[in-house]
Amino acid sequence: MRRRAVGNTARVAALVVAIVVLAGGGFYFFYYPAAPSPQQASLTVYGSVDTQDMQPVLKDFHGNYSYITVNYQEFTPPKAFAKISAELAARNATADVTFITNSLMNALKSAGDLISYNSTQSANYPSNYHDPKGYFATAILLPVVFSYNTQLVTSANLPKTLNELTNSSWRGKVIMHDVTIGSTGTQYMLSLVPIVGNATFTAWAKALATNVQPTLTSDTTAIANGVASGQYSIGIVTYLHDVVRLQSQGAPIGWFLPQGVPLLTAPASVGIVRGTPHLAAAQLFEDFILSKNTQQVIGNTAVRFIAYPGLTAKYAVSSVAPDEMIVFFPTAQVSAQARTFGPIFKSWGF
Amino acid sequence: MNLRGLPLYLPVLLAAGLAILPASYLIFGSLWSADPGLPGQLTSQNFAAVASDPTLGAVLFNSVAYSLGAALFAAVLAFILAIALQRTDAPLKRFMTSSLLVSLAIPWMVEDIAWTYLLSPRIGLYNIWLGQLFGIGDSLLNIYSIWGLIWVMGLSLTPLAYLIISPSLSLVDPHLEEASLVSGARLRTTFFRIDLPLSLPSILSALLLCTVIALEAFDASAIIGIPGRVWTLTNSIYGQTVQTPPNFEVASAYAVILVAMTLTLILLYSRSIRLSQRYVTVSGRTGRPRTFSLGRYRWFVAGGFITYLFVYLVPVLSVLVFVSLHNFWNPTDLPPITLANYENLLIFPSIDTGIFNSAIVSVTAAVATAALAFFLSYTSTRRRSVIGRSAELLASLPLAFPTIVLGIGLLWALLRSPLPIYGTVWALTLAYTIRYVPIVSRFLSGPLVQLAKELEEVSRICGAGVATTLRRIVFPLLKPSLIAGAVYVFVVSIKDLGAAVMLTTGDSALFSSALYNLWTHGDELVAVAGGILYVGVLSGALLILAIILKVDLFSIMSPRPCAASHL
Repeated sequence: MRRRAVGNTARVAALVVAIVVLAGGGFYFFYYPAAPSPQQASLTVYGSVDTQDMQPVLKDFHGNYSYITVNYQEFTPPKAFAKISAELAARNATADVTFITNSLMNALKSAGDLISYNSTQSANYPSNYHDPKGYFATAILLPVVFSYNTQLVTSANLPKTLNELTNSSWRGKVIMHDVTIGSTGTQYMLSLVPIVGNATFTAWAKALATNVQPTLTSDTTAIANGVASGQYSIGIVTYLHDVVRLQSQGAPIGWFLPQGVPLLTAPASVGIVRGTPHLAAAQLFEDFILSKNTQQVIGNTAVRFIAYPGLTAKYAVSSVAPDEMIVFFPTAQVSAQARTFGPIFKSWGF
Repeated sequence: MNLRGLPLYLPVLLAAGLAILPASYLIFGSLWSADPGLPGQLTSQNFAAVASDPTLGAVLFNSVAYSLGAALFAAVLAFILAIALQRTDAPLKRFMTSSLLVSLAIPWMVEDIAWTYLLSPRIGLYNIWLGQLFGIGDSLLNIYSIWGLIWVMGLSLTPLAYLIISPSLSLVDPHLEEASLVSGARLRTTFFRIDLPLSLPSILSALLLCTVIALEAFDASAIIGIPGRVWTLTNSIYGQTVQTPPNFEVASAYAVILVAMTLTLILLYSRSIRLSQRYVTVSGRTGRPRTFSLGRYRWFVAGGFITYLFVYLVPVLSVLVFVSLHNFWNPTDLPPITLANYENLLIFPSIDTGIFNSAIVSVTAAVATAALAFFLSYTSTRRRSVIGRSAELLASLPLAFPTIVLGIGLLWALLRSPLPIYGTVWALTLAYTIRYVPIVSRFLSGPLVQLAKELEEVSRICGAGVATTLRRIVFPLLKPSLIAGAVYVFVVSIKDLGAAVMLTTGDSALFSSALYNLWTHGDELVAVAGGILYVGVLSGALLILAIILKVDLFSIMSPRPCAASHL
């Protein structure tokens, strides 16, 4: 009995020692990483672009600037925004560079969390592709379309107008981004108001909610996946890059725009965060992302639509949707209204 | 207060202090016009925004109905399984207990996704098969409903409820049953008059805990609730955190409502165990409880096990494996089989770092949580002082936090803390310790209530101090529950992502946050492949733990007490 107790005590003691060693080693490993040599810089980027999609870019960057190590951390745009705001407010280490959608770039800019930098590459882009004061510059485009399942919807019964989408025959067959949370879905809907007119939009949106009762999701990619799977016939607020990705895999999905609806496109931009201790490296990174060569790499290796105008690449909007006119959204006014409109859409039955 | 017992209170006060950190930020955040730390003023606008939500009534009703329904479902199913596995001679018991362990290892997010592949209208495999079999259309079953939520969450919670309930059944004093049977009572009467009442504290614990967890879990509420328009408190909070920019202030106001509901449940629970002495079953005269012979019904019960597995675990794992072998999912027009999702998973940059970090975080959180939870349970059941009860109540606060809100609170607390752990894996260890101490303390409170004080009194009369009594009497008797609690923390912390989403950085990325990134960025099937890998890695990790701790894996799910007479 006593020997057993001693044995148990020894085991527990060994376990405790192992944990302490592991914890101490881990603490040393994570909290006291080897100091970089004076010539080297480590650049932290908070971005919403898939890590996989960024790999070729980061590899190229490291190939060109081997003395700069990029630590790319992927977050959804709201979380990247929240982390940067929180870390800056607490005067803690945060990202040097951020790469997220413009609606949140504007919010960061308003909060004074970005540094102005006029990249030498910005001259190659139209004036609306970068902030007038140089706080951020657009590097990737996120065009938004309506998607449909090509097995369930033929071109003959594809809705031609917004009103045809409100037909009750679509009830339970439509999925859309959640318009009640003030995010992409809400911003897209509000961006339609100046295009179709306030009264027409209100009547259409209410009819859509009442007659069709679209399924709502807070994940934009779930819309394309839901349509490709056949669970839904039509997807509203679908990212074009999701449709193209699924098409390239052989999924039965197509895209369309109802009459009068332009190719509303959300720009994703790169900007330098206030207080970065690696300003030169951050500027170099922004220049690199906006450069023609890097845009070519992005446009040919992943389903991401590049911003560089006139560049021939597999995933340029001009290649996939040559006849469509790009209209950026959301405007600053729509971004400001989106949060308050969420509950309004909810009260309409969404 | 007895000063000899003072050291007992130090860990309890530590647990309470840690719990106050995120709680204070949560309450402050709900009354502040901007995110905590940013310029703003005190306001009631956030609560006004909640009150003006046209769906608030439905939100509250759905939250209560779904969480109670799921908890009841889980508790009843777990109780039936616990009786069958702990007290009968049914065949396949080891196989069944290991299956429960595997089901505990499946991340909820992945499990919820699996059910959508099985029970979605039009494309759910069950719906397609039922439609083809009976010609009744392809939308007979609809996962996107409150019933779907109860079904999925109830099944997910069953292993946890089993872990809480089963020790109480194995701690039943056999003399009580023998006395009943000798007195002429039949087996059924003995069960309803002896076993069921003695298990009530644990059943209530399981019911309370499962209700709270279902109330605050957002995985199912987001994946099943939002598409089904089943609005709950958690998907309302989630809705606020995914706004552009995130509306943490109103999210905090919703979370405060959750805290109020949870605290009410915890107070009810505290009242229910005041008469704890009624449930003492392990005394100085206790032996091993008897195993009931089922006779010709043995294989009938085994059939029940197999049915459970074929309704739950087998289809969930099978569909996940099957789906992960395709580039996209369309059951009526399947693309060719491919391993592309697994290849993409393995080249994903933060997967290897994530596995390493997850192992460190989960092991350290499990040990720290078990230690703090022990002292918390012990002082709350044995030293009914004002300090002990207040500390218990405060330490229970994190039960009410959706993990993402806990993450936000801790993010702020750590950013302003002199303790330099923000951005390291230790921030996550701290988060999970705070999060799971109140849960594991409920693992322990049921068995502690059943331990007679006389055992400790005898030890003290013999001259042993508090430490010796704990080490020689209480720890050995509670060892099964302590291991079960630590294993539970290990398993759930390794798959939890709510806190991880806010607290991980590049260096401290976890496996769960890497998978979540895949999911939120549209690589749904790569995330499913990750879920399969997850279950494999977790099972391997449990095996390693079992070897290190020299415990039988099955004993974790089938805890049996060391008989007091053997001490």
